[in-house]
Amino acid sequence: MASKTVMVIGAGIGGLATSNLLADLGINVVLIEKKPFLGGHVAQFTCKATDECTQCGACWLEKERVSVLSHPRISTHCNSRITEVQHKTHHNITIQSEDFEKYGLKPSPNVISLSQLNGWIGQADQTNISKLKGRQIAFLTGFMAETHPVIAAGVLQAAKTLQEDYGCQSYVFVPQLKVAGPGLEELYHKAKSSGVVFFKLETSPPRVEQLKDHGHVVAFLDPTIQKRVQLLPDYIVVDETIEPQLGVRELAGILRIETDDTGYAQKANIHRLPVYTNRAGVYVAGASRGIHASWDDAIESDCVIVAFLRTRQLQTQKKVARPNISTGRCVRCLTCYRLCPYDAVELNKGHLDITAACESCQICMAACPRLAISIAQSDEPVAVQFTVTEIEHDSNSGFIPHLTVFGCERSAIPAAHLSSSLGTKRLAHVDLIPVPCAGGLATESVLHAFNKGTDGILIVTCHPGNCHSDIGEKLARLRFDHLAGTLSAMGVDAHRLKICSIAANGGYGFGNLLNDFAKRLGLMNPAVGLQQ
Amino acid sequence: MTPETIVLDRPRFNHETIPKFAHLTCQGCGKCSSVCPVAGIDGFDPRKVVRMFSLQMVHEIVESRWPWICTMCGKCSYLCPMGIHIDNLIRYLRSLREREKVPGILHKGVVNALRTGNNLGVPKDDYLFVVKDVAEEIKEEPGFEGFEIKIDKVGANILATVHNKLVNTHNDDLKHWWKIFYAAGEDWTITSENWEGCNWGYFTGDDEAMRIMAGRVAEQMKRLKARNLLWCE
Repeated sequence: MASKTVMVIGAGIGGLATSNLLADLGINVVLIEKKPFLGGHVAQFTCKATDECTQCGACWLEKERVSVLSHPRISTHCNSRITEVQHKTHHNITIQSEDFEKYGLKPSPNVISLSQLNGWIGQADQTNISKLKGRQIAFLTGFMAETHPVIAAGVLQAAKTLQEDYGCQSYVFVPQLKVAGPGLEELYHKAKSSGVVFFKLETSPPRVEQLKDHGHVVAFLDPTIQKRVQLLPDYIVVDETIEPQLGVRELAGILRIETDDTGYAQKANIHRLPVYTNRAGVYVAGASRGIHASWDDAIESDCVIVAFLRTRQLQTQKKVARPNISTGRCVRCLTCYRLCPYDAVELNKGHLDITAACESCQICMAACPRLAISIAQSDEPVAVQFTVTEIEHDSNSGFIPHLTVFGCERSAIPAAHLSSSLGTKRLAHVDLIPVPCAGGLATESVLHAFNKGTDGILIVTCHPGNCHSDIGEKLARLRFDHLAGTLSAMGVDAHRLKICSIAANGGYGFGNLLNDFAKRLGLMNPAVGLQQ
Repeated sequence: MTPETIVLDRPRFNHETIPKFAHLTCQGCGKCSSVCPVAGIDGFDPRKVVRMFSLQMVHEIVESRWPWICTMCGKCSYLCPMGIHIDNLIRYLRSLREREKVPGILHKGVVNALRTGNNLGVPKDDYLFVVKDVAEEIKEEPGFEGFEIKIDKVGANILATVHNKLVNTHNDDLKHWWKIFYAAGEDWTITSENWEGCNWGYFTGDDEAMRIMAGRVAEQMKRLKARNLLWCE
């Protein structure tokens, strides 16, 4: 393997394991850690297991740490950051945000968060916990956002501990409980067997009232017995979520990768497989990309290695031509730079370049107001990316319209092929033109098709929220809804242009879309092209 | 059956003191409800019973008709994926009701049985008359000329209990199984006393009565030294 260098940011257990794996594969690693020591969160643990391993990771960390320090291919830099922005070192790895307000509650001595409760259980001073003994405790979780298994494990454990060790009666309110994680189902079963009562209120959350005397009323409909129930718990324990560590958002900004609403360095786009970001060659693993469970530790580093090797392999195989920005035509408006979902446009002195991060969605090509971006190495503007067959209407057999379909390669094209296999009869002559992304379809292409005399144009995108480029589907909709508004001024009936979405497996759906449109076109006169 | 809103202000359920039905592990899957032959009557639903019990709504269930609609067929317990003894739970709920409030003639039958040995209070003479009479009728049928009934036989292979109904209104139903015994050449007997097989102590959740009735049958077995007990309940 030609010597390559990978930078690993963060020397927590994930970063250490990843560094070791990469170095063993013959790759040079530069490991950056902002703390003075290696190990991150797990470094605070030492093995406290008596009869049952608590999966803290301390033994594993030692092994990885020793290996990193002695590996010839890994150069480690502690007390280092990759930016000049200064911010204070933070010792808390996670920040838990309490959802009191979202439940309409005010924190009080009797309305507490899960962390507070765990603090009481864990601490030596028994004042607070002794007040809890023998009481009725209601846990609220999952009504604002689905409970992550990490939080669910915390709720189950706390409810069970209170039930078994403190003589409490625990009630857990949750819309639905997902126990996807090692040992969670068993923990759930044990919690139930110990007496914890669960109310799974999928359709309607409970109404919670705080009374003046610190009492509470929780009112709801029990789904099994179908009766209204009122609970009067002494304590309410409120849900929590885990926010990303400070610095993740900034880091994501520097590396120009997408974040989700909370600030985790991975957007909730289904095309972003675990550890991938929107930029090829940049990977994210562990607590930076989402709420992280200890049981995921072992898997995340391995995923990064696989992703890295896979990307390298694909890059050598990829033959798709990258778009090129013509320096002569470019006026540096930065539209392409701002739009590119993969942040592949590099702003260099005197010229803009498209880098290896490009995934050829062609959004930049369609958006460039100067038509300065093209695939061919040429200075000529490329108005269209295809050719349309000359359209002739056979007046003998009645009017069968000609339909041009611009279809996204990820959804519309597979759906179209499926539709053909299903043998659906088509009520129009169809020219099916694939585009890598509907956002990369230029207005000029559509106008060109109308100019050739097509009776109708159908633009088929991926479903909203399902676009690989994230913004492609939205751009297409904006662009062509706007175009429809101006078509009549060009002498074209606006009903001849339609934009809709489909899924890749929508064989029947595609056939229906096509034929419905064809039927309507059939009722109109044949098109005469744009007014000259 | 229950008020519009149930207020759960009960103290912690002491799970150590109640029998272990494993009811807390109920997943709400509903297999019990779907297999129950009487689910729907009066709204009866075994899943709801388990849930109400887990919510400590014991008083509500005990006061209702529900525990008495159950046929004790046991299909619910057989199918329950969590191994909850729903039939045992129903029986426990029955046992919690005051005896005077046990529905219909069930408790009166128990009282009769404790006093006389059978649920209907059929006197010994009447009983003996009926069984011998039926035996005679069988003898008159072609092929059954050799039929004989042996009462209180010592050392028989099978000792069979008798359901009170069979010596009251359904005498003819005695003939079916007696003829089978005869055709099989079986060595069988019935007892002159404490012959009742229908244990309403079991049915009404009255453990004390159940023990006494079962004890009487066991006593007969020991006394007559029968090898096998055929206890039709």
